[in-house]
Amino acid sequence: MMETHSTGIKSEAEIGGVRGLLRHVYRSVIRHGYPDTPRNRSLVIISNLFLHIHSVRVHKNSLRAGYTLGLGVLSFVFFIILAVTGVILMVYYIPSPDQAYDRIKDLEFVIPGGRLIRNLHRWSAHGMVAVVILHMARVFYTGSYKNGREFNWVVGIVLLVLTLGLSYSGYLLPWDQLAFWAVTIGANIAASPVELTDALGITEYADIGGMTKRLLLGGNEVGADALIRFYVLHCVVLPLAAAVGIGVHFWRIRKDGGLSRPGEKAHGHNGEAP
Amino acid sequence: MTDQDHSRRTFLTRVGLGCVAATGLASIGATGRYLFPAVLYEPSMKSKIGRPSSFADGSITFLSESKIFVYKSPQGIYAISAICTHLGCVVTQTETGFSCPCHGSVFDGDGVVTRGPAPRGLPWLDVSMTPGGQLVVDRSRQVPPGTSLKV
Ligand code: HEM
Ligand code: FES
Repeated sequence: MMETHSTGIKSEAEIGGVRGLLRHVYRSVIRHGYPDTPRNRSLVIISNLFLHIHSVRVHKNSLRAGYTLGLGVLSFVFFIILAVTGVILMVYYIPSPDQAYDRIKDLEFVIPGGRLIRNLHRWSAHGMVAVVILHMARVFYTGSYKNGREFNWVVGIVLLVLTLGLSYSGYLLPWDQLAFWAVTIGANIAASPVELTDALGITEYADIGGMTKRLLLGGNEVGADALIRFYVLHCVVLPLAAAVGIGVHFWRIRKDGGLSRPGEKAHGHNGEAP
Repeated sequence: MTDQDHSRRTFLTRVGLGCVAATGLASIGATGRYLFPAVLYEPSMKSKIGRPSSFADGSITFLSESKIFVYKSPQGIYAISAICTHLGCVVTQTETGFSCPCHGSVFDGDGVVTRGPAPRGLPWLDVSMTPGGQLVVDRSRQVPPGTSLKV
């Protein structure tokens, strides 16, 4: 039975005793020897879910700090920080008009470490928006959206929209004056197709703007329903969508043959040279 | 396989796929409908604001709950919405009318825009009287500027 184990280990269990068992378990977790041979070095990467995000071999250009400026990775790091600190904030935050504001104040002034966590979350949120936009600029200025990477550019646009959506939905949660009026204004911007349907005189039959606003707020005004909707969007829907989107984004980079680099042959879907 | 078998199989496949598609579309539709608010947990658009005698002659009163300015003038009683037509902030009273704190729109005392970005003047709202003599403002109904309730 042991002989068929995929790691090819057979004799440990036969050695018997606690030592043999421990060694067996160890070998089932760490499935390779010391990374002192090219093969083992590759195995370290391939057999680990997290490390295998990077391929075993990358082009020198992809590692040049001056090329990517690390902006994509920074976006991802911000996303991870936001996910972790966000879950910690959820322990105390309550999305109700009666409590939300006081809970944020307690996080700031009463709960030990609350202010640090809140500020990590807030600054990382600002940081992520800035860095995602800069990353997009880097991709644009290096022409990295060409040569079959058009699809990943579109995935990137989706990620940009999700990032902005997370930023906007999180903004309401402190339930202070700034939050309230920012979201009132945002919801009315979402309702702006009304200007167009009004001009065409069809608002009565096809009130797209008004419907979008009511869908977003769960009513006509920013109230308890808007708060819970934004909370669900901010804490569940958008982070999950972003996580999936980031997965697709990274997977596409691998399928597109790693990052763009100088002298790369054009292999766009239409076969045109860049 | 005869032609008959083939057409029967094709037919059943299409019916099956059609059912799957119909169920999928119906679920999407139902979920969309579910997300639209069927109950509004917010103040009614109609509010009773008291008797005419509770407003002084020539006064402009701001009611913060319903976000309206109530005028009592020689022509009668009328109400102007305090919600900016730009993006929905609440305007404040100035010497010449109203101004919006959010993006600087300015309105005169009749709610007419004197400086953008607001695209339209402040709406005049329907004012009526209950049989018991209470004034009622209906924020969901606009009336032409200049309309007022004789009291
Ligand atoms: C949540 C936001 C995002 C994350 C976490 C993210 C992450 C990454 C990472 C780690 C890379 C590897 C290269 C690098 O570090 O620059 C990358 C590459 C890329 N990203 Fe993003 N990205 C995001 C948003 C965007 C946006 C908004 C766009 C453009 C609309 C975009 C388009 C691309 C493209 C086309 C590549 C391939 C670049 C190349 O081959 O040189 N990404 N992304
Ligand atoms: S909301 Fe009043 S000027 Fe923009």
